[in-house]
Amino acid sequence: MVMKRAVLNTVIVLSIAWLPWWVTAIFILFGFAYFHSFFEGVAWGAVMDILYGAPLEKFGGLQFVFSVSSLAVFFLIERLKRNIRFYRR
Amino acid sequence: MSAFFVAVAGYAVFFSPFLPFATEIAHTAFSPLWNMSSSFAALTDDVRSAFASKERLFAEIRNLERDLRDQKLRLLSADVLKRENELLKRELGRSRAGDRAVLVASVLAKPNRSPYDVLVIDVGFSDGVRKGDRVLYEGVAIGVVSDVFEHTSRAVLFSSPGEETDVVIYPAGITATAKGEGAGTLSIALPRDVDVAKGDSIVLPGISPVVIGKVDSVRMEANDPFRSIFFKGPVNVYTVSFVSVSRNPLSGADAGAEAGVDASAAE
Repeated sequence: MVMKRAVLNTVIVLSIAWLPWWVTAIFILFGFAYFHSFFEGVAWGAVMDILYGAPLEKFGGLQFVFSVSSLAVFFLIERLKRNIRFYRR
Repeated sequence: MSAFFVAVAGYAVFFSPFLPFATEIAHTAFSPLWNMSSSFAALTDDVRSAFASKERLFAEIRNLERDLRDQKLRLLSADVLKRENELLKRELGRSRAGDRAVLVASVLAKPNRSPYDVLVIDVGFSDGVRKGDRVLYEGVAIGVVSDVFEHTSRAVLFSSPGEETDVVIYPAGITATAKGEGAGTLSIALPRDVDVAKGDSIVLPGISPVVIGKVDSVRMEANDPFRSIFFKGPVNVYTVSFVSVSRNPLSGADAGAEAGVDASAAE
C-alpha cells in the first residue's frame, strides 16, 4: 500500500508540472477515495496554489481555491467513508 | 485538534510573509520539470515532422511562403508608419523609448496547468521585472505581471475570466473596459449606437499603444440598449514558449513599490 501511495504521489507531482489542472484534480480525488487519510492530497492542493495561484475576479479574489477545495473534499470523503460499509471492511 | 493544526498551518503558509518564500522554493523545485516539458514538446515536434508526408509538407511550405509575402507587404507600410510615429513623438518631446526596456522570458508553465489562467515566466525581481509590467508576444500584449519573485514571475492574462482591462478601440478612438471571458477571448459592452465593426483594432491606452486584439464579432439583441463586442488576441496563449516583458508606461516608478517581493528582501 505504501508503494502504491508513493507511486500516486509521484504521478501527482508530474501532473502538477506537466498536465492540465483537472487531471491533477482527478488524481487527488482518486487518492482521497482509495487511500486511508490521504493528507498528501491537501498538501498537493496547496502546492498548486503556491505555484500558480493568483487573486482572480472569477474566484472572488481568492488565491487559494485548490487548497480550500481539496481540504473540504478531504473532510467530506473521510466522513463519507465512515458511513459506507465498503470502507469498513 | 486537527482542525486547529490545519488552521495554524494554513495561516503560516498563505497569510504570512512566508508565502513569497514558499513560492520561490516551489518555483525553483519545479523549474527542472517545466524545462523538461518544453524539451519534450520540441522533441515530439521533431519526431512528428520526420513522419509527415512530403506532399503535405510542400503544400504547407507553399502556403507559408504566400503568407510571408503578404505579411512582408503589410509590414512595409507598418514600418513606414512606425518610423513616422516615432519621429513625430520625438519632435513633440514625447519619446518614451527609454521607459520601454524589454526582457525576453521563457514560459515555464502555461495557462492550462492551473485554473487561474496564469503564465509562469523565468524572469523575476533580479532581472528588473516589476508588478504591473506588460507581457507581450511578438509585440501583442497578452497579460500583465501579477506577482514577482527573485527569479520567476506570474502573469495574469487579459483573457482570464473576470479580469478587467482598459482599452481603446481604433479607428473610432472609443475608450472602454474589456472583460476576460477565458480561453483567450475578451468582451466589451458598448451602447448600441456606437459604431464598431469586425476587424477594428483593440489597443491598450498610452502614448505608444500596444495591440491586444481585433474585433471578432459584434452581437446585438433587438431590445438590448447595449451591443457586445467579442475579440481574441492573434496569439494562442496555450502554445507560446517565449514572451517579452516590457515596463508598463502607465505604472511608472510606482510599480516597483508594489512589487510582490520587497526590494530590501531581494537584496
